[in-house]
Formats: sequence, structure tokens, C-alpha cells
Amino acid sequence: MTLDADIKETLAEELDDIALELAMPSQEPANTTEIAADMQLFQHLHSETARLADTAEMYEFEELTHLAIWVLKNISALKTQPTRLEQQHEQGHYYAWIELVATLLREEETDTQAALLTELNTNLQQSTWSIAIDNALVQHLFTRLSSAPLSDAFIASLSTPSATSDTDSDVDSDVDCNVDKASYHLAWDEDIHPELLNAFFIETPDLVTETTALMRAIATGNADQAIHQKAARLAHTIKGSSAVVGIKAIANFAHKLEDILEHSVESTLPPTAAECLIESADCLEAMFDSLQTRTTPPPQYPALLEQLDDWDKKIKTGEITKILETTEIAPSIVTVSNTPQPVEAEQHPTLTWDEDIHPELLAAYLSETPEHIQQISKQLRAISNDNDSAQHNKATYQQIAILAHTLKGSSATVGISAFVDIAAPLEAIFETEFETAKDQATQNTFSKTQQDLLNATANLLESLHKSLLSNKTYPNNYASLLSQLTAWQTQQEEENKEPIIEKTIEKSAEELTEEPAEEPVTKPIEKQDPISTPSITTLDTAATKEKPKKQRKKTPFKLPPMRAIQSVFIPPKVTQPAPIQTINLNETTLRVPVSLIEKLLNFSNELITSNTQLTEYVQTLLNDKRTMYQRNEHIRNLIDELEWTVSRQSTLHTQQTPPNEFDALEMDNYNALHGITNLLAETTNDEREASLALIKQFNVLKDHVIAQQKINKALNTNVLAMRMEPVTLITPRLERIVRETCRETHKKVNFSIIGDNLALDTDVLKGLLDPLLHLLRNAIDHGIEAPEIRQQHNKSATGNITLQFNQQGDHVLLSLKDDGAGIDAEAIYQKAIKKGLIKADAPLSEDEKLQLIVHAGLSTRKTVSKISGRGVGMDVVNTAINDLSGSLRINSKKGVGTEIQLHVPLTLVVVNVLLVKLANHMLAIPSSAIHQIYYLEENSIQRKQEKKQEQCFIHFEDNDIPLLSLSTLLDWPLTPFNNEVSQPIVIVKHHKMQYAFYFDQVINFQEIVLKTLKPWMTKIQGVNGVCLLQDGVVAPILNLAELLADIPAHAFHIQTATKLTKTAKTTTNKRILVVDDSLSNRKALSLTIEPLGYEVSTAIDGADAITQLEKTTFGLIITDLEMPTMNGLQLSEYIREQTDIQHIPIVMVTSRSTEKHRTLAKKAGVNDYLTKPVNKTTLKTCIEKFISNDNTENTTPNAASTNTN
Amino acid sequence: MKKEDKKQQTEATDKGNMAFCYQLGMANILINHEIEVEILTTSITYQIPHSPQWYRGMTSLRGDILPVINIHFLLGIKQKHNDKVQNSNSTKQTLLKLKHPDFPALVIMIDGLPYQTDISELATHSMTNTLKAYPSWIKSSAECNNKLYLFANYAHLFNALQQNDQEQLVMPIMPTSNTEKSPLISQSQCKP
Repeated sequence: MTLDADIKETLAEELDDIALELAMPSQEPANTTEIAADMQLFQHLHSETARLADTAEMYEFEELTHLAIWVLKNISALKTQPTRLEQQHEQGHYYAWIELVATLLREEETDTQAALLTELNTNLQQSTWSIAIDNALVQHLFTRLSSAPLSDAFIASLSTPSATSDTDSDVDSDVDCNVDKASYHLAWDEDIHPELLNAFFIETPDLVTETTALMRAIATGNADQAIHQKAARLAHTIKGSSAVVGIKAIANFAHKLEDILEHSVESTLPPTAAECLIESADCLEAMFDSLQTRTTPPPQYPALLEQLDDWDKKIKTGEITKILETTEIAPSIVTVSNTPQPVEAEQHPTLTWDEDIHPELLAAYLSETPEHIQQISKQLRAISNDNDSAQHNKATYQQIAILAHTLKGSSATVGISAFVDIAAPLEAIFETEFETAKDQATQNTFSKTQQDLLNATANLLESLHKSLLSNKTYPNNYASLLSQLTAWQTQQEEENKEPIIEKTIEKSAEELTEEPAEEPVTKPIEKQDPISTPSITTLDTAATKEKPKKQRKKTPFKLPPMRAIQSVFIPPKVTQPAPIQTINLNETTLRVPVSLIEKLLNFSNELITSNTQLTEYVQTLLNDKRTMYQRNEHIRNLIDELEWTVSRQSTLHTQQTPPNEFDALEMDNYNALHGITNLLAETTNDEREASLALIKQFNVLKDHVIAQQKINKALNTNVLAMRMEPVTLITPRLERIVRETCRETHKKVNFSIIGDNLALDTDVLKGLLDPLLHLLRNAIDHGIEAPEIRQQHNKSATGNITLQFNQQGDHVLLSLKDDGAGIDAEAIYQKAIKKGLIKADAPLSEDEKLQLIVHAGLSTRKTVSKISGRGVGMDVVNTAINDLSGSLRINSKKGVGTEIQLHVPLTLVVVNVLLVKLANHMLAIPSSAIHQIYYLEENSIQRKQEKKQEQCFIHFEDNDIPLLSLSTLLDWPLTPFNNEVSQPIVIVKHHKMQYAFYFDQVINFQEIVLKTLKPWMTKIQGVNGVCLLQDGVVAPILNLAELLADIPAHAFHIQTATKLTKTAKTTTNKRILVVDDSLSNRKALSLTIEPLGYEVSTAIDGADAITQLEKTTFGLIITDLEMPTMNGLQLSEYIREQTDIQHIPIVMVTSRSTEKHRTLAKKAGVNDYLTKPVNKTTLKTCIEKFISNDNTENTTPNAASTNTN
Repeated sequence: MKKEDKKQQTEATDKGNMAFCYQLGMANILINHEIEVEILTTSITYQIPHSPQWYRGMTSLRGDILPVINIHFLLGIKQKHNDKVQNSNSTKQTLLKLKHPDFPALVIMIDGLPYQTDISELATHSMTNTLKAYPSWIKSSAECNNKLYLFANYAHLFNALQQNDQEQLVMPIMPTSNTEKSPLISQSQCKP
């Protein structure tokens, strides 16, 4: 693949820039030592060449990337030979070839190209390179650079034997063999079985995370022997599994790590090896990330692999022991168990609580202690990271003292003396500090040594707690730290007893003696203050280069000589492992694929749907049964009446018949009618009881269904909760990127994360990771200034970056703050004008100018670094946040700092929506898109002529806002707006405009589970996804912002209300009431009328008809004449007396055909009179006469006509 | 006929010469053995605004929400039922859920329940001259006992659906003079 001319020129410019940077000597501070200067040269060459590799990768110039990696290997190989490195640098070894490549990129003449290629070949094949170059790589590079095909003769000349490795070099060919080319490729074997590969990708991420965490613990001295062993075992597993799938790069790396970690189990590692271990942990994580994203290994990989190889060799040759002997070991990596003291090993009892502790007491202790430890550790780290600014005050000291006191007391109660022993001196120290400190904010009163000790104590407390819950062994540095704390406490006590004058003199003396301990930042780590412990939260990578400038004002902690462990370490009471099994200390977890949770969620939703339907069926049955019960009651009443009538008739009959032997009072006489009515009454009674029992059963069933509904909802909630993951899952990645970027940019940053106990949906968390990594890189590279510049601006040398997670309802607000240089809004504005993104005369506020940065290509950085500055970041971040249905906001003040706020939902799966019905479709509108639901009064729309068409507006918040039909936006037929009724409408804000939408029905707000339309339907305009409602309906979830982005003109034109009212009236008119006491007649009339397109209701008599007329409006009444309770004549007379219903036409259908009946009907107000039987045609003609004509004309009695049938 | 299609037919022959097919208008579309099929008789299709014409909407099945493909539209076949698109809630059609091993499940609407047929003779009755009248995912056709059989490459169809590739999906518009040659019914439907 050839590069086009523009890209060639741009790349050539970048290469020139890198070559220039490489050619320039690295700037050394005046007081830099020789060793530091050498190290600086190495780092300068390494970082610039790594930038070259990144640039080549960015331009997809693979050959150049490999070439840069090869140069990196060469530079790393000479890390331990600074003189030679300097010599080669002075000879232009590391930049001359880059200049040649840049020239070749610009050159078009083939002859000149050939000459340049020959020169480049000579340059690359020089014997002075520590590692010989692969001829194939040279050939590929030259083919890419040459515009004409390479001649065979030229290709042959490439393999001239001049390219030999430097056998005289200290870096022997062994390195090249170990670190072969394949090890730089992050790829698995092509023929690997997919299931095997899948298993590797499922298992390895956790292994890597765990291993790197353990490696960091080992490197910082917070690990016991078990942790060392576990780390070695995990490295072995990673090595094995990577080798199985053919990922040599990781396998080789893990192999070296395994050797070193195995060695560390029994022996102590030198501080430099520990430092290498921390970098390797970062690199291992980065490698796995690269593997997953199919990108090249991190640039530091080759150098680190060689360093590990170097350490491995030193372990094998025993050289490491010599290094240790000659090195003053930093206590941070000294572990008590590593010191070969058999007596001490015996002093390590099991870390546990008293055997006879009550389980509830223990449970209470175990639930409250983690929080106490977390708080103390946080405060201790805050103090230890606070170099020279006054950020803590008396309150902090008091808080630590109180927390330590609580920890001491609670631990003593359950018999965990390990915590008691640590908490006691801590409490004493901070009580003293509290008493001696000034009232408010103070200067940092702790020396560097003390700060380091506090930091180590914070780590120790956490390790102790972890050990308590897991392997019950003491951390190796426990005794050492305990002794130091006790010594500090003792020293404080002694100082307090001394007279003030003496104390002051001693302070001055100690200040003088402290200097050498504070100075050696540029010295090798081995020579540092023996008590210094690497800080975990302070990402102070440049600390080793900078000399502290401020003099300490207060007495520093002078480390007393190390006492015998036995004298300071009071072993806790040796107890048997607690037999209590009721408390789940380490809850086991199970890895479940997200797809399985999705399925579970689907089934859970389906359960809710089917349960809702079941509830509805049960309710319907219950209602039917109640109706039946009411009818039964009616029958019972009738039977009572019948019984009474039969009894009365029987009495009358007895009185009329001749007297017999008995008087009626002396003996009851029953006939067959009595027997039947009694039987009927009993049967009805039985039926009533059965009916009642059935209703009870239905009620029980309903209760069960409702209970099931609650369980289903709980199940649904729990399944959704399974998708939630704590933010802490991504914090190691964030911390690592900060560490790496600090290393690369030589900046110092305090990075703190607040609120990381929050849980987010797994998709949101994953979606946030890349934007956050990018923003953090930006914050360090663009925002935080170099230490010296910060100090010039009266800022602390260490920058501060805070990432805060804040839950706000169903959303989370992420705030990333830095105290760096801020963003130059004006520069962005000018660049946006230059790029044609906005017009030059566009008046923008400062805030609007800032927000322009989210457009592509708007980096204001003058130079492109490998970290950022290409202007392709913030737009990607913005897109990623938009994809998460979130928003991005930038606040920045030049010189003060920047705050980037990300507002994202807690979950993308559960959405709160407003359900509406439109054109017989259910639709879901996310509540976040709705500004307000407004209850619109009837006849309150205004019509205006806008853009040559009539538009409707409503008056809302002192504005006239357009009323829109959503159905038009959805390309559905226009739904009419009923202006004659009050109704809720939805107000939506979009781009400073407001719109009102009307619907057929606004139902309610609901939390629904969003289902994506992917992979089948992608980018459906205006639709975010779909949801399954409780009744089984699938409703689309609308994206109103997208729909409003392109409003068709006809959407503003809505159907008039007049026509609608007429339609509504027509509907009412088509409703007919049939009144007849005979069920058969009612049924027959209904069956005849309904097919004619009318809606029929029935009533059993006049009284029932009146009840129905009170509830519903009818267009026509068809009534029988003779009926119980209230006959047809009485009904008609009643209707004609009522003003609200007197207009309804009445048709009488009866078997009475005499003129006398007709006259009576006419007098009562009947409009038409039909005699039974009535055929369909006659009935149809009669109905159409009334329903098709205007009501007022036909409701008068005079208009009534008679049917002669 | 391509090697792949022959393989498809041979595969069917190997499995007892019997294969399931479903009816769409006059055509009978064969179902590959690799596809899992489920008949849905009570599912309701809900319309999705602004979706491409070849989607009828979405339906739910045991909590899964599946797209319903308007396969009649893709083949230019007039539907048997004149269902109301705007009021789909009231219409229940016979649907067929298809699950290809490499794709998520989807649903198509069919004109009759699937049935088994002996396809041993179809290979000898294959027609290549009519293939131009079908979308590219129809790989071969055969006419036997006055019935038209179509062999579909479902992977091709599903892939084109995911890619939203109209050219691959929809039946090419035939010249007016050729319509009588088309074995399927209506060309007027096919206006993508």
C-alpha cells in the first residue's frame, strides 16, 4: 500500500520534528547529578522513539512502526551503558536514519531515492546497533518508501554481511534470542479452536487483574509469603494459557515475571527490581488491553521485557544476591518474613478473633470495621500525599484519632490484637498532633519520612483486614511498621516532656541533619531514605528527579534504630480458627455471560406480561361472578314473592272450599305448587351459597396472582441489579492510565476518585471507560503543567485531578476536575472559524466557545504528542457519551483548571417513559425528553398564519408555542385534535424552541426495559428501541430530539375540531337503546340492529332504561309497550319531561295494534309505532329515518309516524 | 446451479429427500435443515415508525422481541390477507420464527402452515432462466407438479437485512413486457 502525497508530506514533517527532538540534547536542571543525566538521556531517546512508533502506527505505516520498535530495543539494550548510549547519540545514531526516511518520503526522483535508500541501508546495518536488524523488515520498508520497484541487485545488496550484531557488546545475542520478533506481535495462532480462545478470553482478564494487584502489593512491601506464592502461580497460569493460544508476547513476559516472583517468595528483591515489577504490572494490563483491541503492544514492552530478562539472568547467576548485599534495602520492600529469622517466623500467629465471640457481635464488627479502616486509610493517605500545601487541619487529626480509638476499642472487644496494636500508637500520635496543632489550617507538620510511614500504615491496615478475611496471616511488614509507629509515639511523648528551649534547639539540629535524607531524589532508589515507602495514590513519577525546595518548619521524625522485633511486636493471642460458619465473610461469585442475564430478563418480563394478563382474566371472572350473584339475588326476591303469592292463593282456596275436620289454623294444607316453589327456593339458596364460595375462591386466586405479581417484580428488579457493576471495577484502569501518562509526560499528579462505590449498568460502565481514559490523558497532557511551570505560577508542583461520581436520581454525574492550565476558549473559537465550523461574525459567549471543542479537529495544541493533540479526541468522547444517552459539559478557566461534567443514565436498560396512545399505537416517550405535561383547557388553541399555512399554537409560559401532530412526524396518517375537550398535552424543548404534542390518550409514566432494535434495524430515525409493556404490547421508544431535527411543514397543520365534533356526534347518534322485558325480544332486536352498523344497549324495563339514559347518550330508543315496573308509555312520558333527553326519538315496538294503543303512544311522546313481528327492512327504514335526519326535527311528537305493518 | 446450492439440495436429499417448505403466494420456499423453525399463531405485530419497508414491525415471543420481515414485499408477492397495517393490533397472522445458527432469530409472515415435501425430483426440474426475476438471496428455483419451489440462501438474506442492503434484498423491477414470465404475482408491490 502506498502513501498518498499529502500524508507523505505530513508524516515527513512529523518525522523531522521527532528527529529534531532526538538531535537536541535533553534539558538538564542545573543541579542534576551525572547518574540522573544519563537516565534522562535514556528516557528522552526512549520516549521520542516511542512517539515515532505511535506516529507510524497512526499513519498505518507498519514497517516504520516495526523499525521504531527495533530502535527502542536497541536503546533499551544500552540502558545500563550510558556512556555508549551518549556516544551513539552524539554520532546521530538515533535520528540520522529518521531524517533519511523523512527525505525519502518527500523525494520523487527514483535515482535520488536509490541513493538515499543505500545510505539508509548502510545506516541501519551498522555494526554499532546492539541488535541486528531483520533484512526482511528493511526490504519491506524500502519497498514502501520507493516509488519504483526495487531491483534484484539492490535487494541482494541489502543482505550484505555488514549487518551483524555487535558481538563485543555487553548486550549479547542472548537478548535477541530471548526477545525474538514474534514476541512483539500480540496475536494468537490462527488455527486455535474458537472455544479454546473464548475460554482464554474469559479466564485471563481476571487472572491479569489479580496478578497485577498482587505484583503491586509485593513491590510496595504489602505482601506476605502467600501473596508472593499466589502471584508466581498466577503468572505461571498466564504464561501457560497464553502459550496454549500462541500469544508469545504475553507468554514470554509472564515467564520472566514468574521467575522473578518465584524468587521473591524466599528472597528479597532489590528496590530497582520492585520498581520494574510495578511497571511490568502496568505493562501486562496494557498488553492485554492491546490484545483485546488487536493493537500493537505498549511501547514500553520491549524495554521492560529486557529488564525482566536481565533480572531473571541475575537471579539465575546469583548476581541478585550481590546487588542486595551492596544495596541498602528500602524498607518498603523489606518483608519481615523475608529476613531469615526462624524465631520471628514463630512469632506469627494466626490473625483471627477470639473463639468465644458471639456471632452477632462479630458480624457487627465485620460490618463496621471496613468503613473505619477505609476512612483512616483515606485520611492517612491524604496527609501523606499532601506535600507542601495546607490542606488538613486539626479536625483531620482529631478525626483520625477518633477513628483509631474506635478501631482499637472494637478490635479489642472481639480480640483482634493486631488492629489494637496498630491503632493505639496511631491514636496517640494524632491526639498529640491535634493538641499541638494550630487552630485552623496548618502547614504540613509531617516530614517526608513520617508521611511515608503514614502511607505504609494505611496500606498495612487494609492488608491486615484483607488477611483477616482470607488467609489469616500477618503482612510481612507488620512488625516493622508497628515498631516505627511505637517509636514515633515514644518520641512524641519524650518531646512533650522536654523544655521548650531545648526542643527548639534540637529541632534546628535535626533540620540540618535531615537534609541528606531529603535530598537524594536523583540518586538511585537504593540510596534513598530507608523508610520511604512508595505512595500508591500520589502518582509522582518525577519525584525521583526533583529536589524539595521548601525547608521543613517543624521537627521531622527521626527514625530510631530498628529495635529487635520481639521487643516491639507483641504477638496476638494464638487462637484456633473460628468455628463460626454463619457469617459469609467471602461471598463466592459466579461468572455469568451477559447474554444469559439478557435471557433471564426476557423471561422475567414475559412473566410479568403473562401475570398481568392472568390478573385481568381473574378480575373479569370475578366481575362476571358478582353479576351472576346479583342476578341470583334478584331471582331469590322473585321466589320470595312467588312463595307469598302461592301461600296467599292457597289460603284463599282453603277459605272457599268446604270445611273439613281441621281448621286452617289447626293444619296447613299444601298443594303441588307449594312443593315446587319451596324446591325452587332451596335450589336458588344452594346456588347462592355455591356462588358465594366461588367468589371467595376467586378472591383467593386473585390474592395469589397479586402475590405472584410482586414476586415477579422483585425478580425483575434483581435481574436488572445483576447488570449493575461497581465503579471500582474500572478504577485500576483509570489509575494506570494516569500513572503511565505521568511517566510519559514527566508530570506529577495527585489523582483521587470520589464516589466509586456507586454501581452502574455494565453497558454504561464499559461505555464510559474509553471516554474517561481519553479525558484523563488529556487532563495530564494538556491540562496539568510541568512541575517547574506550576511552581512559576505559584501552584504546587504536583497537579490535582479529581474524578467524582455523584448519583442524581436515575442519572450519574461524573465530574473530572484538574487544576491545570485550563482551556483557551478564544483559541478554540479562532480555530473553529479557521476551519469553517462557524462564521467569523458568529457572536458566541465564552461558554459556547468552550463547547466548540467537541467538534472534530479542534485541538489547540501546537504539537502532536503520542498522547493527545490531534484534535480527534473530544468529538469521539462526545459521541461516546451521546451514545450512552448522556451529555457532556465543559467548564474551564484559563490558568485555574478545567472541569468536565458527564451526565449519563445509571442504566441504559431501564428507562422511565411516558406511555401514550396515538392512532391506535402505543408509544413510549422517555421522560427525560419531556419538559412538562400541560393540561390544555378546551377551545384554547390559537390559529395563526405562518409560512403561508394556518398553524395552531398554545399559550404556555408567556409564549405561543406550536402544536404539532406526532403522527405526522412518524409518517402516520394525521390524527385529529379535539379542541372541544380539555386534555393533557406534552411540551418538549428542542434547541431553544418549545413544541406541544397532542395524543389520543396520555396513559402514565412507567419504568420499562429498553430493547435494542439491533442488529436487524439500525439507525431508525426517531426510534431508540422498543419495550415490552405489561399487557404484552410492544411499544417503540421514541427519540423526540431526532424527530424534531427534521420537522415536515405539514406537521404544523392539524385537523380542525369542527369536523371532529361532528364525527363525535355521529358516533353518539349511532347508539340505540332497546327496552324490552323479554330476553328473546331484546336479543332479536340487537341481532337485527347491530349488523346495520349501530351500537346497541339493552334495558329490561322502563326503570332500567332511565338508569342507562343517565349514564349514556343515545341517538334512538326502541321500546316495548307492556313491561313490569315501568311500561313503555310511562317511559316515553318521563323522557319527554326531561330537558336533557327529551330530544331523543322513541320508537315503540309492540304486539298491540289497536288504534287505542297507538293514540296512547302518540300522546306519551312516541315518534313511531311498529307492531310485532317487525322485519329487518322496516326496522332499518325506521331507524334511518331518525338517525340520518337532524334530531330536533324528529323529536317532536307531531313528527311521529305509524307503521302499518 | 452453483456448487453451494447443489450442496443444499443434496443435503436435503440425504435427509430422506424430505424438506419443509412454506407458502408465499404461488411460491413454496424451502427451509434449510440448519434453520430452526417455530410456528407462531397468536403473535401480534406492532409497527415501528420509519423502519424500512421490508419490516412489518416487531412481535414478542417469550420476552424476546423479534422483527417481523415482510417477505412478501421482498419477493413482490401480494399478501393473502389484507391486514390493516395501521391497526395491526387487531390482526393476528401466521408467523414463522426462523433461527439460523449464525444470526439472531427473526420472524416472517407466511400464507399457510409449513408442510413437508419430497424434493428428490426438484434437482432435475431446476430452472435457471427465471433466476433474474428473484432477489439475489434466491439461489435456485424448480417447478414440479405445477408447483414453484424456491431455494433461499438464508444466510445471504439475513446478512443483507442486517446490512440494510436494498439491492440484495428486494426483487429487481422487471420490465413490463416480462411480467407474464414472472412466476410470482405482483410487480406493482415492488417499489422499494
